[in-house]
Formats: sequence, C-alpha cells, structure tokens
Amino acid sequence: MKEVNKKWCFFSKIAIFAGCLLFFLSPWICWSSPDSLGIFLNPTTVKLMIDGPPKRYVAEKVVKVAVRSGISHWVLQCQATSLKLKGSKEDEIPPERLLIAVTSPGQKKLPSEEDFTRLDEVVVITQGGYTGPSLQPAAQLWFALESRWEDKPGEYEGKVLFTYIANP
Amino acid sequence: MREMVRKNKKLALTIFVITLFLSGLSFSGFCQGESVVQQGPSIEVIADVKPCIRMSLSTDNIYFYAGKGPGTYEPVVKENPDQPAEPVIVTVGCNAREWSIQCKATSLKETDTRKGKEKGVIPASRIFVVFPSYENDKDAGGEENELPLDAPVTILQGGPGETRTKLKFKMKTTWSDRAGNYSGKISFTCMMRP
Repeated sequence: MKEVNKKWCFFSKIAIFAGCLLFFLSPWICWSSPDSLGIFLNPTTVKLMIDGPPKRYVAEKVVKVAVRSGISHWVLQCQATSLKLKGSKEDEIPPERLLIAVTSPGQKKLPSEEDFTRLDEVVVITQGGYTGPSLQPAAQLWFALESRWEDKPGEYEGKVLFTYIANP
Repeated sequence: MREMVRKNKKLALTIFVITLFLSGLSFSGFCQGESVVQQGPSIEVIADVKPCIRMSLSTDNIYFYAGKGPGTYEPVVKENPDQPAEPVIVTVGCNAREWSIQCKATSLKETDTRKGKEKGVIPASRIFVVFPSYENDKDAGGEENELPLDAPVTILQGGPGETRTKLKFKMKTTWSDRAGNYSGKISFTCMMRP
C-alpha cells in the first residue's frame, strides 16, 4: 500500500510541477495564437479635405499603429475600398487614388511624394515579432488622395482594411 | 490511509487533465508556426470634396489698332500692329455638376485727354466676343457666335471636368470715335451649381 501511495505522490508532484510550468508559460502559449496579436490604430477615422483644384491632398492627422504580439513573426498589411459619394450609387473615387505612406513612429516630417503608395493593391505596413504583453509603437500612417475635376462635390466614404499574417 | 490515496489519485488526475488540455493548446496548429491570415481593424476614410472652379486666360490684355478709319478690328500684337494676335484661350476646371462662364465688357474710355475736354467713349455694345458654340447649346448648331459685350454673354458651360475654348474679340469704330488711346476691361464671371 505504501508503495502505491508513494507512486501516486510522486505522480501528483510531477503533475503539479507540469501544471505550474504550463500555468506560468500560459501567457506565452496564449500569445502565440493569432488572437494574441493586438493591433491598435489611433485615430480610426481619417478625414481628407479637398477644397481646391486637382492635386494630392494629405490628411492632417496621422494614424498611429501600435502592436502587442505574442507571435514570433507577423506581417501587417492593408488595402482600401473605393470611396463612395453619399447619396449616389455611381459616383466613387477608386482606391488607386487613395495613397498611403508609412513612416517610423514619431516622425513629424511629411513624407515625400515618392513615399506614397496606391492602396488598390495590398500594401505591407510593417512586420515584427514578439513584443510581450506591452504595446509597442509600430508605424505611422499618412493618407493622401489625388483629386480630379471629375470628383463631384460631397462627402465620400470608404475603408482601409487591415489584415495580418501570423507566422508567414 | 486509503482516503489519502484516493485524494492523491483525484488530485493527480485533475492536474493531468489540466496539463493535457494546456499541452494540447500549446501544441495546437497555431503554435506549430502555421501561417494564418487574420482580418484586423479598419480605418474609416472620409473625403470631403468642396465645390471648386478655376479659370485661366492665356493673356491678361488685348490690343486693338484702329488705323484705317471706321470699321471692324481684331486684336493685334501691340509691338507689331500688322500681326494679328493669337485668340484668347480660356481654360476652365470645375467639379460641379453644372457651371458656366459669362463675359462682359466695360465701355472703352479715352485715356489721354487734356484737362477740361470731354473723354471719348467707345460703348461696350461695339465690343464683340466670338466664340465656338458650346456643346450643350443645341440651338447654336456648332457655329460661331458673335455677340456684343454690353450684356453678360455665356461663352462656355459644362459639367465636371476641364474644358478649353478659344475666344476672339472684335471692336467696331465709327467716325464719332475721336483719335486717341482708349482702355477698358472685359470681365469674366464663373457660376456653378454643385
């Protein structure tokens, strides 16, 4: 009987040790699922004021991207939809005229014309690895629109959709 | 003693189950480095397009040389009055659904009169604009219009986009126009309906 008891005691000790180990490792285990990649954008609305003749208009506010990741490698990318004129079924600004420039966090200097990329195709914003539980600034996004005379006056709405690839 | 063994067994089993569950999680497909594409957040983009119209002219002055008595004269190059001037090119860009450009002249007043003498005047009714019929004017039938500039004349109209047209001007003189230099203005007005 004593043998059996000893055996179970040893077994339970091993199990407790393994349980504790997994418990302490659980944040990292959890972080390594795609859901553990947190992408935070601020602000989540970009307004472009087109108040003159056709040219490139850059949004006043930049969008700050911060990431919290438990994944060893991830890639953040985005693509835009067309901007649709409110109250119209036909009038829209195609996504190739919506542009994005990615700069490092904190940069205040306006990106040059060549830094902007059209958003009709998928654009890679940034990539990285583990950050642990803390939120890390990852990038700054500048948006611009190339207007044309054909763009009728009014408010156009669209979206920039972000996707990420975990362990690409 | 048996009770203790039973308790130990239960505890060990419980911990085992938890351990297995967590191990299963940690060794699941996600953690094995499998590539996964996930939808992330989105940004709402709003573009506020304001009504806008811009007009430019290829020149800011025209010069008539009426050297052969009463008649109809067209603009010439000031430095060489024998050389006809190029037509005035009007370029209009607008994003409004409808827009039009109107043109009107002031009368030309004599500039170099002596004190006490009445100034000579060539009325705006004798200044003319010649312009091609704009597309939307079905009544005009594609011919050129020649209209006096004493009242506003619509020289161009259209929708969103950029349009150009060539304008020619004419001036009629009579015997009553005293010899001298005259000056005045031709003004353009842009109108749009967003």
